[in-house]
Amino acid sequence: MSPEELVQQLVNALSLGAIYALFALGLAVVFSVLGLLNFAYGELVTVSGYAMLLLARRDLPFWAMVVGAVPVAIAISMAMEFVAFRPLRRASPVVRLFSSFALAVIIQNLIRQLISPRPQGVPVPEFFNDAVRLGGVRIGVLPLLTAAIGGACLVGLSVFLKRSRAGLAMRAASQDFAVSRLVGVRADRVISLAFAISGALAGIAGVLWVSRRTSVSPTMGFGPVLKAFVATVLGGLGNLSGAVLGGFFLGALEIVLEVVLPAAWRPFLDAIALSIVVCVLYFRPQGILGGTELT
Amino acid sequence: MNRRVREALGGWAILAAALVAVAGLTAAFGTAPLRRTVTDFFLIALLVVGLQAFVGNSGIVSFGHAAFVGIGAYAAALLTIPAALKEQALPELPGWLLRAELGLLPSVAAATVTALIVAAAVGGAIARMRELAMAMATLALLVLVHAVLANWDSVTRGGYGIYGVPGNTTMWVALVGVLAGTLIARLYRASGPGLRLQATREDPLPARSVGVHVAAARFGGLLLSAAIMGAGGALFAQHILAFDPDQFFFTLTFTTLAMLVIGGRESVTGAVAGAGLVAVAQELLRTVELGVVVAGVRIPELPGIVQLSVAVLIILVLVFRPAGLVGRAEIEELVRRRRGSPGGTREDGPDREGAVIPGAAPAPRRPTVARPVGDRAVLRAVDATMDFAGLRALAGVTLELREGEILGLIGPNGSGKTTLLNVVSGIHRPTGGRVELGGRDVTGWPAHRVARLGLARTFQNIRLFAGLTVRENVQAAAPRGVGDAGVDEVLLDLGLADREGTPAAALPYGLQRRLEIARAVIRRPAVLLLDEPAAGMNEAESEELLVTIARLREELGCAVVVIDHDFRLILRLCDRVQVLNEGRTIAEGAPGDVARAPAVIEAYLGTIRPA
Amino acid sequence: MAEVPRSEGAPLLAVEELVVAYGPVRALHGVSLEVFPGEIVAVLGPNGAGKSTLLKAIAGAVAPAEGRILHAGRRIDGLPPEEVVRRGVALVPEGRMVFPRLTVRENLEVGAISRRDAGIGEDLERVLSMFPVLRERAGQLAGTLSGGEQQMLAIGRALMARPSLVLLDEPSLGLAPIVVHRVFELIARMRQDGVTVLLVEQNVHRALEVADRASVLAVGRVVLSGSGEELRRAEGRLERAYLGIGGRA
Repeated sequence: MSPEELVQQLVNALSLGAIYALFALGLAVVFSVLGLLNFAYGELVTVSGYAMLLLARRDLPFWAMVVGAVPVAIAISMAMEFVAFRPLRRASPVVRLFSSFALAVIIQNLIRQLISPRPQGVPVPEFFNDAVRLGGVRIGVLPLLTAAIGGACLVGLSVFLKRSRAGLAMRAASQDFAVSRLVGVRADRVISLAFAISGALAGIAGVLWVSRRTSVSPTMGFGPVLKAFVATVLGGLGNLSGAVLGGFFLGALEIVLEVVLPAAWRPFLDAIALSIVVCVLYFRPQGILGGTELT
Repeated sequence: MNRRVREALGGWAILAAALVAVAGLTAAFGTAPLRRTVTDFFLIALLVVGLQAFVGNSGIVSFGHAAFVGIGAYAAALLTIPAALKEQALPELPGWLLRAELGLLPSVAAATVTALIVAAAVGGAIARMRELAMAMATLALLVLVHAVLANWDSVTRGGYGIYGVPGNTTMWVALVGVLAGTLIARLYRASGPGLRLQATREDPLPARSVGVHVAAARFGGLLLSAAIMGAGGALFAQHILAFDPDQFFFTLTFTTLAMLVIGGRESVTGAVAGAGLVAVAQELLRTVELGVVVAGVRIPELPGIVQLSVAVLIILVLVFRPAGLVGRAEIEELVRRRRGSPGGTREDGPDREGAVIPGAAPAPRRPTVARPVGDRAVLRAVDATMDFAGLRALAGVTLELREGEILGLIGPNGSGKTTLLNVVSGIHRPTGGRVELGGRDVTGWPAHRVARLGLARTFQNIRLFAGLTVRENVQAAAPRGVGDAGVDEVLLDLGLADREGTPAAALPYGLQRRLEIARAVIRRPAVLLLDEPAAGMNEAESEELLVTIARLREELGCAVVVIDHDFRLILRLCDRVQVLNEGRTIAEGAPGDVARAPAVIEAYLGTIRPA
Repeated sequence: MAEVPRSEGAPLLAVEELVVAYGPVRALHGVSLEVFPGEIVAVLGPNGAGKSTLLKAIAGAVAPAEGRILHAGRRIDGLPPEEVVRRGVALVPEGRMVFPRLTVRENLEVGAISRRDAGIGEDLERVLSMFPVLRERAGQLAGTLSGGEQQMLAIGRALMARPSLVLLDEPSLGLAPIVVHRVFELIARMRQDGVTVLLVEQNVHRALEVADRASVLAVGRVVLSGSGEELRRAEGRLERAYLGIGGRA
């Protein structure tokens, strides 16, 4: 492989990794505070994509589609918590996982009913397909933008968690929910905040994801939630840095496979990537950064 | 045949009669389309029952079972499609597969084996994970198998789908399938391995301490249920005749899980009832989905309204009846409850008054009349050290328990008593030192192996299998070869016989403590560890307990370590007392001497001046 | 039973006939207790007597089945813990329970999460000067502190809420004697700073040294109460309550 290709693939890996990292982080934020694995998380990505679609139908410019999509994902995420998880706050993790699964199906079918059961194209700016020259190497605009925006979000979230009072409250709640309430962290508020952040990450990742695939469909959330599940488990459930690491690992793995696999094997890329992850988990059932013992 | 198995057979017979009646009525009065619908129902019920065998007993969500159905369906299809057709549609198949034209039964057997092989290959990794990670892994399995089926064009024709499967699955065949599936699931639920898997669902920690290898139990359940799914897939293939990989993907996963959750995942009855209920609802809603004409106005098509309604129903059920509409009980228990027979049911409320316990305690006598204590050490901890992230819980404790001895382990809060029990019972791996049980070095052994070598214990904060009945709690702990009689004896011995049908969580507190002891005693341990057995008991209960422990030592000939804060109990019960403070032994000897030792009093009440 | 000395004015905390049950198990069978402003009151008793449960119920971490809890005359029973803190009652839980992956400074800051006023920075400064060791380690993760340092941090974190009443649950648990000594010096100092303290403690002698009054719990009931001095004189009875020699409660 030429050095130029190598750089291109590196940017591709970073950009796919950044999307997966955002997916994983949004799932992990809720898990770390609530112990809830939110299967309907993928539908937040879907919702963000459909918000873009609806805004595009009103002939709004792309930037307006983006500005509109993210708040919609945040609002739906917070509504989800209120409707399907708040009544089950004391229920077992299994019950809440079932509930989130049902919620995912509800959202998928509402989209089928209200918009269309068929995939719809979403217009994205043409310059996304261009390439820029950076130090003599041609790199696609979209992968570059994706990696940059993804990176900026990760930094932004990290600053929010480290520097703000609300972020501090969230980190305390994720370490020990009961004790955080004893020092005055408001349970309802911190949970809402976790869902808001989860929605924001899903919304931003959704915009980036839809920009790549240029279409939306009612079941498009299945891919993202699967990637998020895999990345968080790989990184160590409940560990935010682990989720980011798992996301980048998964993104890089897929790009590497894309490069090395012979063409005939390409259709099995997902299956092979998942098999590799399962192998990793066989030797480290608690994930890469997870320290908790298996019980 | 033990009682649980007999009851399971009885319950199965009721279910079977109902299913046979459905088939009979359909055959007598039904039209061809109805017969088809009933066949659909039998097959989906079979799949839900197969899913129940794993999800219900293990308490772990699986999104991956549809993959086993797909594997079974494709395996059966490839083996049954006429050779001539295969040569045309799938010319690249290897010769033996091209020529294969199996009948119904061999194809089902082959599909079952194929599903088993895949389950065995991936199950080892999956069963080792934590609960929610396992749910993720099963989802990955679903996607993985779907990707293979959808892209392996030379074998599956990929997204084009496969066709020409012979229609061997008649309604009667489907009936036999669902009858066999429910029978297997009921027997598994009643069997030792099934019960032990349920124990891990209720609480993995005490399950390990009664000798259950958690990952192995889950692996076993996964294999059995994958086998049922594979067989179901084979029957399904020979019912629908043509299919593509999407039929074994998200929708099937959703439908089967919905039926299971709505009906009641922890019982086979719930699985069947859920399948029936959702199937009927689906049929009714489907007429709406296709658009109906009401009073001359055609209501427009509403795609997805079936899924939508079922999903809403799931959430409603989870909020208002989290265990499902049928709940945890099997049909024979429901029938018994309706008839109002005694013996307690799973819906019994907690009984707050300590309840008189017939047959439990003979008149209290002073039990410490010493029985000769042997010289041989049955349990030794040598210089055991345990550090938790910067906190030293044990700083080199040596403990020696001699044959037939009752040793009291006391000390103030945080002195390391429970940690010591956890170290010798294999819950914690010590950071330093050695543990020997019956002369063997068991340092670092996992809890279930230590348990199998003859150590049994109770827990400070009662860790029963809360949703299982009293009898099931004891039975789940019973070693191989201990039958109903053995369980009866222990229940009678500990005064639990008349509560055997009550779920553990509904027992009054004193009886919960007793049940923990019963669960340990059924193992006939050489070493029995009791962690605060009298905590929270009133004086009468704790007096009774004293008598019981002393009697058990006589009967079982085991050695006992007791932790308790009730000094009177320790003084009267124990042959010897060892006192811990800050992770070290500060005194050891005869009970009376220890209680007067200044170091002990100081440890409990604190020093006056700093050291 | 010894006569309870009457303190002046209205009680800051009044616990009336409190009953707490965990499922079928009753942990407290009708406990009553009063704490007056500026006092240190100790709750003593053997393990399993219900001491921690009492503090958890006051802090709102467990809901009482019966009885009332009043703080400054207003009922706080049934409030969630985050509201109880806002009323000025802060719990230092048993086993410290600092947030191990937050820094020392962040642990203190999160202690003030219930406040909106401008005095937080000032209070942080005050707590850091009260505990010089915490200032030294301000940037370190709390999980890396020793047990004694974590106890200081837990107390500091509670003080950051600027409470009128601090509930201390077994502050000497698992600490070396020299550290216990420092913790108790600190408790005495808190009173000088105008904080009222309800202290649960196993270390009887220590507790009685600092406490104005004490109640002894056994099996969920108050079996003995009086001034610190009186209880010290009744040591024999205390030992019986603890070691159960010669009759329970």
